[in-house]
Amino acid sequence: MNTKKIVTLSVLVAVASVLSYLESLLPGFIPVPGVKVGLANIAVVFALYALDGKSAALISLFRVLLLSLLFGNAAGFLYSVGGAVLSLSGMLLLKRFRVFDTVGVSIAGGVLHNLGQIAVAAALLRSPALITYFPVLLLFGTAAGCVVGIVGGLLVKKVKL
Amino acid sequence: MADMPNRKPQKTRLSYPARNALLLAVLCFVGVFAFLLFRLTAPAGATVAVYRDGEKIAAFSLATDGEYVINGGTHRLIVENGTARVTDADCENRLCERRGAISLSGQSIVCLPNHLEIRVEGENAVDLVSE
Repeated sequence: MNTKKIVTLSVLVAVASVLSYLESLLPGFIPVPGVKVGLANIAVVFALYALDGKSAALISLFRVLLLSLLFGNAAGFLYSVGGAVLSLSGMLLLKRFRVFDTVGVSIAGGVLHNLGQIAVAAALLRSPALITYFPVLLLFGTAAGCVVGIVGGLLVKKVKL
Repeated sequence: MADMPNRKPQKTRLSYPARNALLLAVLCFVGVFAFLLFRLTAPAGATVAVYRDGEKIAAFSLATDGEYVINGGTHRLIVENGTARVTDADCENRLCERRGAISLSGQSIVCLPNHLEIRVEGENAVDLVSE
């Protein structure tokens, strides 16, 4: 990993972290735990297409780590990791097999992120009843992922690394 | 886009915009379908139970209006006209308050910071009231 790569990744981690922080300042659109726009995913989707899968994974995990250290608690960390890991795996697979472009990949990422968080919550609260949140998570994740994918795709086109 | 081939996808395969639209349509359909299915089939609940880490720590009938302090004072639970909602949550984001009133069996209010789930259970509190 050369210096330029390290700096690029660091900047993207910073961007992702700030986006997450800004998002945490917004009031939740829907009062369901785990529902987030996932603005930070813009940086991850950008890295996935402008750099590579490994970079995207590094950025996502460092963001989760950084935010949990700065603002979070242990439980919050678990939700974030659950969401991030599921979302990343899905996006990496879909991208590798060229199933979708940035928009489709990020829609899948958004939905999986929400599902991952609610799955961890269901496990921690030992409450399978949380499945009733599924429709809301699905719809919101889809809409948010769509926006993130469009923005991410534009950035990949316009920003030259 | 860096990793995408410049050539168009082969003829037999869908273009990316078409795939995106398809994915969007399928997810929206599944989401709305699941939402309506639950909304239209779930019966009105009979009781509201409070769970902490999966363990039931309290339960109240939805048939009688009342105000209860739950979980050692972290929340106030209000039962009114067969619905339940929480107020005075001590957590930061107060998502549980903004969730509003729940009444259908299976619906729940979750407070992750307090490891709390308030769930409507059973059937037909309304019928009990009318009798």
